[in-house]
Amino acid sequence: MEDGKVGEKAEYGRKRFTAALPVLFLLLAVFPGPSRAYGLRVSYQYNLADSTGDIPFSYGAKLAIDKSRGEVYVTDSMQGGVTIFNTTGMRVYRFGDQADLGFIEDVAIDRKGDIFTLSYNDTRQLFFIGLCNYRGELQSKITVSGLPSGFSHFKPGRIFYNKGIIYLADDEDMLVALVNLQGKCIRTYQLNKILKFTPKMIRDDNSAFGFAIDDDGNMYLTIPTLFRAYRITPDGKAETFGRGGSGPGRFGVAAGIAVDGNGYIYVSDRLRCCVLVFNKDLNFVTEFGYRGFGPGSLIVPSDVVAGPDGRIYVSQAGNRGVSVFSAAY
Amino acid sequence: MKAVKVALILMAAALVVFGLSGAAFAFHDGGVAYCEGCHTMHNSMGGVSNSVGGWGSPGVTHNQYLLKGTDPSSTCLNCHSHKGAKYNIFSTDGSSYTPGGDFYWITQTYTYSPWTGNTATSQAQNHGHDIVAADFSLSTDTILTAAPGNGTQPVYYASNLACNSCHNPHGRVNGGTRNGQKPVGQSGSYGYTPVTGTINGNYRLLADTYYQPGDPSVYDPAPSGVAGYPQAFTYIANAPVAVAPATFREVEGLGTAGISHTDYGNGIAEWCANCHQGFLNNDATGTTGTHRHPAGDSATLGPTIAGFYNEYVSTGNITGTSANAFLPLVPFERGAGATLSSTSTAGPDGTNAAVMCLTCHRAHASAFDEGTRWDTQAEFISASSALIATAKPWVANAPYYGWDIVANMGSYQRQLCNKCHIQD
Repeated sequence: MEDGKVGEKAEYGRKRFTAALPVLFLLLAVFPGPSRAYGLRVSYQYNLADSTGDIPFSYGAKLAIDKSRGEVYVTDSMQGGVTIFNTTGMRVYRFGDQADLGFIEDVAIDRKGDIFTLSYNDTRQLFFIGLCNYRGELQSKITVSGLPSGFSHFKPGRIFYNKGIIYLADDEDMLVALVNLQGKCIRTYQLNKILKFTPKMIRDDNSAFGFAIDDDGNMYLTIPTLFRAYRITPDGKAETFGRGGSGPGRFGVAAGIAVDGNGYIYVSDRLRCCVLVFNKDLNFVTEFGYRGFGPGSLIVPSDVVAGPDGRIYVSQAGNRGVSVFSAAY
Repeated sequence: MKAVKVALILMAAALVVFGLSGAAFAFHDGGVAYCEGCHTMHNSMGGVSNSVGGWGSPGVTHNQYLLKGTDPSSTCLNCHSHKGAKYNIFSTDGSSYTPGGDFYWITQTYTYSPWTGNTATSQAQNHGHDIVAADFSLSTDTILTAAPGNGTQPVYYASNLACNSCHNPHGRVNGGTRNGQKPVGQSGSYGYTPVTGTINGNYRLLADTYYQPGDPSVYDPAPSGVAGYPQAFTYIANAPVAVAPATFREVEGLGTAGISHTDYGNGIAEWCANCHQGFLNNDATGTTGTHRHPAGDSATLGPTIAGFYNEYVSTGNITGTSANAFLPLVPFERGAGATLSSTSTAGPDGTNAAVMCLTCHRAHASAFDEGTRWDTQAEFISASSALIATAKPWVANAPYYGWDIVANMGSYQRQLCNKCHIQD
């Protein structure tokens, strides 16, 4: 008898559960739980530091990742030089004060650990690529040649390395040049044309802020004044994402941009003081940070890079240094 | 009738799509931008309180203007701090060659060895207007705690100095529409002809008569121990007249696209006198007993000084002509009503051209003491303190906006006062 009652109850429960399934499914679809729907959780870890504590890099510090070793490179034009941190966020090396390296604007690292500096002469009118060993000692200077006539003003501010190709990005003039390891230009992009700028849109203030390259050679950039981020394929096809506003997923002042190995795209927002995450379909997923002085909060986040181990590095203003977050999938 | 309706609908749609889309191309467009760009209505962004771990923390004050940045300047610098010129005025390396100068220099203290052989120091906060921007670690000037030379104007304290001390972030002209002005239709910085039914904004959104930095109803309380602190500082002079190039290249005046500079009309010194009224001297003859260098609309150069300016090319070279005499490092006012052009190479005339504050100073900051355009502490300006400072070798020619002084003017170029006075 007792067994029968239990069986009836169990049957009743099964029926109710079965009946509730569509409703549950509907509820999950409408109100997704954060971790389940997003598939990505980001948590604050620490700030880049040396033995004396966090290092207060300036708001303009540029970040680069050594994908093979997981080290992060910080180029801070206000403080000068390049500082290297290991995977635990501790400073391990610094270089860049040598006169032969010129004024280092940015760096990129290849799989072997060689370092490419984007350097300028002392008038900062002429640039060259410095090929350095892992100690930051200049091995050779690579002079870029073969740039087309439309690149007479070309003054790159970012350098990236991907599969034997060096990417030089002039964020102000919206130009990108790809050069081989001998410095010969092999392809160029005029981003204004690719993004179909109308004459009215070609203005000084409609220039790129953040720039990134993924392993497939796709280019990512932000244009703060248009409240947009873009993905451009190697064959020059552009997709755009993001919109202006104050709510989640909206851009206040879109700044740095990065992409990780899973295709997640990270866009820092200087005004909203957070980092927005989009998936590879360019849909908004989540965001983290927010204005404040506590751990994990951000003040004017600028550059952002994604490490191979799920770490996300964010430079910021207010002497807050570079904050490190961990992304769990 | 139906066709007319369809056409009207299409026209309305086109107006919405193309007419309003222009707003997306520039944030200010000469006037007030959209409110949400700078303000948060409920002290939150993205559903997260701005006070969490931040403004509500001990020692951290709340933003009383509902701004998204910690303070007014921090809000402005969210967009205006980056490398290069264009619309950036605070770089990390002195590369923002905008006419006002680069606030980078108010972060830079450097030591150097002058001709005396001793070590000298050029203090960061002596390099310009020390705006307060907490998010960017820009703090109050501790040397000059108030605007010097206020004269008959109320004292303006350094602790309140911010972008909105000089620029009206809402872009109102002469009191705005509430004061009977027509709506602002476009920027007033580039010499555009006003659109019918509208007026242009002020040059660089500069404040003018009636402007009170900050809302006087919530004006900052008096710092403790300071008597007579003004409760409402009001502008008494209108914004000046000037024309800027729509495109700034890396070297002012020597851009690859040709000469490119701000061309000044009139009203600069009078406008600076909103805070520094005691420094305004319109008497070019210097007979008023103020013993200050003339500056102002009526401080005309006259034929002699204008002639010097036009002759002077560099130390030892006085073969210049009036048609090509303009030197961006020593600009002047062409006078009220003069035709202004950011590509003009012409020197001053002997009738209307006048000396102004910006003839010698940068409005924001420069590499040199007192925010001057050239190093007033060096006999030969190629040996300027900022150029020879060993602590920051990478600044190179940034103090002179990328000008290679030696290449363009020689190793023995002396002070640029000589552009008008030829004493070298």
